[in-house]
Amino acid sequence: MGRVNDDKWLEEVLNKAIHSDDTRPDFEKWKASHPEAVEMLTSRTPQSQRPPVIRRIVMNATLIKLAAAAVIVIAGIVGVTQLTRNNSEMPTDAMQILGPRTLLTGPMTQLFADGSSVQLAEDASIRTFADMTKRGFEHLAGQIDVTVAKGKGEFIVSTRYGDVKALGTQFTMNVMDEVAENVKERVQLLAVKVKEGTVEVRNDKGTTTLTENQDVVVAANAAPYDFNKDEKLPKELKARIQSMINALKAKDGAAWVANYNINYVYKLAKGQVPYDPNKFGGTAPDLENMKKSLGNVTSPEELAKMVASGLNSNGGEIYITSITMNKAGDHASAKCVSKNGERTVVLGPQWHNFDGGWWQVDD
Amino acid sequence: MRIDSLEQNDAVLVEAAQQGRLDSFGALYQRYHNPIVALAYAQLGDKHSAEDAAQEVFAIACRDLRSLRERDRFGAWLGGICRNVTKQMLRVKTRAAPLPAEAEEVAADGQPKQEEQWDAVRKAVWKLPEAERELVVMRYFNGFSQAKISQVLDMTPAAVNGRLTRAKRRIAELLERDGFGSESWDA
Repeated sequence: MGRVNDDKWLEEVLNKAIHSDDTRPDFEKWKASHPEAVEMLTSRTPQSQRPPVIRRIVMNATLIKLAAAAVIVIAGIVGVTQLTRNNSEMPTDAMQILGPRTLLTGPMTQLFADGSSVQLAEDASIRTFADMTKRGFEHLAGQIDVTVAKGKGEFIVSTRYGDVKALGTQFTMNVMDEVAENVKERVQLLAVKVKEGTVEVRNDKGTTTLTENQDVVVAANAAPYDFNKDEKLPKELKARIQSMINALKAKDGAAWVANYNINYVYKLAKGQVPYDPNKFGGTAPDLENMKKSLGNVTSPEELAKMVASGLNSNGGEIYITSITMNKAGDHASAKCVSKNGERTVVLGPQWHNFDGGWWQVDD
Repeated sequence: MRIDSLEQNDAVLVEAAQQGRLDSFGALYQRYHNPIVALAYAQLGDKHSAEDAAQEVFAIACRDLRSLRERDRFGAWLGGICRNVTKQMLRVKTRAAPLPAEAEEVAADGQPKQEEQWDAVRKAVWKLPEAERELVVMRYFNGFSQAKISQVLDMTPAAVNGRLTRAKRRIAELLERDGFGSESWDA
């Protein structure tokens, strides 16, 4: 016992028990087994800096471009749909043919020969299908806007979380796979929003059809989820959630505060109603802090102004991946992701049903 | 001083890799592979799984590197990805961070075999709170410097030192309690 504070023996035994000599970094092996990740990193490199393999692919594409005029005729006959040209905003060549499994990364706009187009945001990436006769492409990451030409048949955008089938429509997709800033959890989801027409979103857990202005979120290993279509949720709750999302996106403090039962919050802050953990999402100490911070507020109107001015929203997108109701049907908790530029945050808002179908967010 | 120059090098390599330089990402891989394996080992308790986790961590890092703004915090960023990957692996296995397997054999003279002693040490390490366990495993897995540990665990070198001292004291006490005190190792 006398030697507990003497480090040397402990250093020695810890070294022997934990030390590992057989771990060796082998980047070449890692590279060979992760071609997609490597491709993502190197795909936007200026040509002079690209490693030989990537440069070879690009050079091949350039050679193919020289034969483009001849191929256009053939393509027109056999209906090869991946014959493409970049639109006039793009600084690249006017015409090119994409081979099977060609990676494209944003920011860029790609115009397809059938009139369909896809606009890639920065950090977005897509890849053409291996089967060049199939309309559509694989969506790997980031946000894209797709416009599908009408009357040409099925157009599929496939992602690792599910496929989107479109028939003449406009829609936005976002494939996310990143670590949330606040909880350090990995966020993996696909979000689809339809601007015009109809799309079907499908994976092995379920299928949903979206029409104009509808959206859906597909989390990894989960069925497509649209809280507006969730039959377990009361319509007042759906309206409340939609209203809050709209206010956040519009950065509208007045619209935001309209979602609060300000009179109740005021009474709570002033100790005029008892603490109820089902109605106030925070703990008792949270309530005490709230009471202190709102000590000088003299009316519900003043409180409303304070809440409105305190709306801390930068706009962006809110993706709700699930909402769970309690058995009594008066409490709902959601899991959602807020995405704004580079910032991704996982949130878990909760709502409680007050009298008269009024759903109050618990925060 | 050492940390400053290390951070600067990381930032330069990250910037080059963000511009698509695979060789720069390779240099970062060489630099951080073993610390990440060690960190994953601290979570998973199994070296093979830790190697697998490290492969996945670098795949995610390679894919998402362009989103990293604070280039000098590459090590901490990588450490965050690693914790996330291992958390998911543990969730799949539906069990908590496992203790290394216990040796049960006893030598003919009634004294515990040496492997049993090493197991006792590993057991004590895995009984530590997660933050201390990460630190101890990283320190002794491959003899990483305080600077490297502080980068990956996102702590100051002084905090690394203080926490490591406390962790070792706790290990010594645990070993002592289990009959593997300092005297057991004299022979």
